[in-house]
Amino acid sequence: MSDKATLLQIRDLKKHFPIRAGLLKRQVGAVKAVDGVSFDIYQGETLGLVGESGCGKSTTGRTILQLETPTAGEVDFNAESLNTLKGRSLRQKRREMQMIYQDPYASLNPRMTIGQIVAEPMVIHGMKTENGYRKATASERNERVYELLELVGLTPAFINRFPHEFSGGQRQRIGIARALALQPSFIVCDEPIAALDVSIQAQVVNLLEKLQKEFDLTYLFIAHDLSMVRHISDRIAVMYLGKVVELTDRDSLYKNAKHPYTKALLSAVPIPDPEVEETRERIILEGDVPNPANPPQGCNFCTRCPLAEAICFTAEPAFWEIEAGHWVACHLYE
Amino acid sequence: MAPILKVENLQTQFNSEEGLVHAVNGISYQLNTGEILGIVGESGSGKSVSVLSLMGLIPQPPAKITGTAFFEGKDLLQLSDDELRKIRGNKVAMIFQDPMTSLNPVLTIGEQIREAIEEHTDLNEEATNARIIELLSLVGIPTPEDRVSQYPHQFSGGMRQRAMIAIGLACAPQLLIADEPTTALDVTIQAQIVDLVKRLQDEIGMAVIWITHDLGVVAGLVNRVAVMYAGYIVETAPVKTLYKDPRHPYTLGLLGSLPRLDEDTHQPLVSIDGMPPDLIDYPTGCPFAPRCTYVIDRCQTENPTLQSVGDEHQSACWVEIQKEG
Repeated sequence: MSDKATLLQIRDLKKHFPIRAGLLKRQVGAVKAVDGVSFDIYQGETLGLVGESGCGKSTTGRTILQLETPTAGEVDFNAESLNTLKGRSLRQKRREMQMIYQDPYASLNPRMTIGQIVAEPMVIHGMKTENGYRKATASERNERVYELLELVGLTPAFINRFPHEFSGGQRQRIGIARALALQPSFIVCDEPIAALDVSIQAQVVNLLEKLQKEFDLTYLFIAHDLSMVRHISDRIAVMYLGKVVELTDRDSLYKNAKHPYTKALLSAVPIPDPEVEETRERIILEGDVPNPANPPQGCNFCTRCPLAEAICFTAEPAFWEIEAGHWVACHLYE
Repeated sequence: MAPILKVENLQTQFNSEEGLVHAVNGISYQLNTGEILGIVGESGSGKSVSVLSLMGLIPQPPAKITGTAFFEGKDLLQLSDDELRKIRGNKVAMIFQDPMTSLNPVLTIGEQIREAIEEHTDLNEEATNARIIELLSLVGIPTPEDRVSQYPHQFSGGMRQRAMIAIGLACAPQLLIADEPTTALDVTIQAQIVDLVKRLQDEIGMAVIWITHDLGVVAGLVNRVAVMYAGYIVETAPVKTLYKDPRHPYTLGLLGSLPRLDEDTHQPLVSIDGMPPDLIDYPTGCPFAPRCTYVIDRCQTENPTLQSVGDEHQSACWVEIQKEG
């Protein structure tokens, strides 16, 4: 994997949300949504980020884009640190990084037409040309909106309609068109298909893959659906309670999973084939995910881990590369 | 084996300002004692409405429900509200998608199970209390003695769904209707709940109708599957037959659009183009015709009915279709 250029470098990223209580609103604790996450994203790849609800995968995506100010840690984009950027210079950097949201109903302004929604990034940031960004005229923007709508498989005739006139899958296409308006190089897809029906999910995933090839896009694909993530990603990071527990390429994650949580997660995903299901062995985890405001001592997974040993309850395992390109945080492999 | 539930030509329509909504368009199926039936379909395919109609949980008007549904020799659709109430929660139990909104937030879990027991049985106070604890441990809630006096907000999503199942099982039902019970849960919790329902079905011998949009969950759980589209059952078959030899283009499309965790190749997904039809402005002919790749002229004018295509296998399609490979 080292032959690929690194687009994003994330080092020990943390995002803690304070819990305040009492008359003086003093901080009494913190929800450790993201608690020390490190990985690289290579140019042109899709990195899948999976985990259960509340594991911090969406917060990781938002913190990388600086939509949340990180509590600690470094995010480098094209070897330039994003943490130190503020105001105008950060806004300019955002042209290159866009986001597609989970809920296609909440992420489009109901009072704006489709044309206005897709054109808005260009109103704010201008248009990308060969030598930088410049202000775009209304007719130039319109032309680009037509182009974008066609690109995502919508008829440009929709330009004056409002979001409520569209189905969930169509709205997600509008969100994708908006994200592409500035020709970004990196897109965070935050559960873009979770709210859609199965037959529509496949349409949107195929569209995302087509666009990636066409524009050499880099995706951070956040989802809880492991089969879909394995389908779309080149490499996959598995998160549990604010930490990445395993990171490797798509094939070795499935064939050669190391972390007990990854194994349990893989075995819990149903496979649409009754004959496979009949003979499959399931690892059924007991209990629930602990509270991120009060994570367990030692390894975060020790309370549910079927293989936990004494050391797991006292010391936190390091996240290290056990084979080339295969990172795991587990005492069993140290 | 005698069927425990026999539904025939069930139709549900709603009057709305825009016109008549054809939610369920004459579906028929039967369920044998101890069998698990999966009803699979996408949003708006009528899968939930069809079972809610059976249980009298859809107010008429605005709905208009016709057809018959025999449960233990009685037609559910002809029963009065009082008679239905004696069956619901007693012989037939339901669990729903969202356990938070289906539990009462101001009553303890114990009180909510007690309601079901007191409504349908004559157990005394002591026996009821013992039964509540027994039910909670049956569904795998640890330390039931402490949990019984807690409120729903003190339970996690998976625990709440277990509590819902405990309420459902309170009177040892013969039929459990599960309406997308794991959709709101994470996969590891979903595996716990599926495991629990399988175990209970084995122990108690009840029949189960499992409604879902997820062909994956169904594969390892049910005996028979009915696929619904736009208010029709378009294909029904024993679970293995359905996955191995799907005959309806919609079923084929659904299976093609699911990525498999154990797939090695990286092929693009086979998506179904277009969207489900508007249930008001209803197409004549086959409702799937506008999205179907096998469409022929006849599909535009005549709606196919379910025809036998194999052993216990029925499909509603004019074209003879075989899965490739």
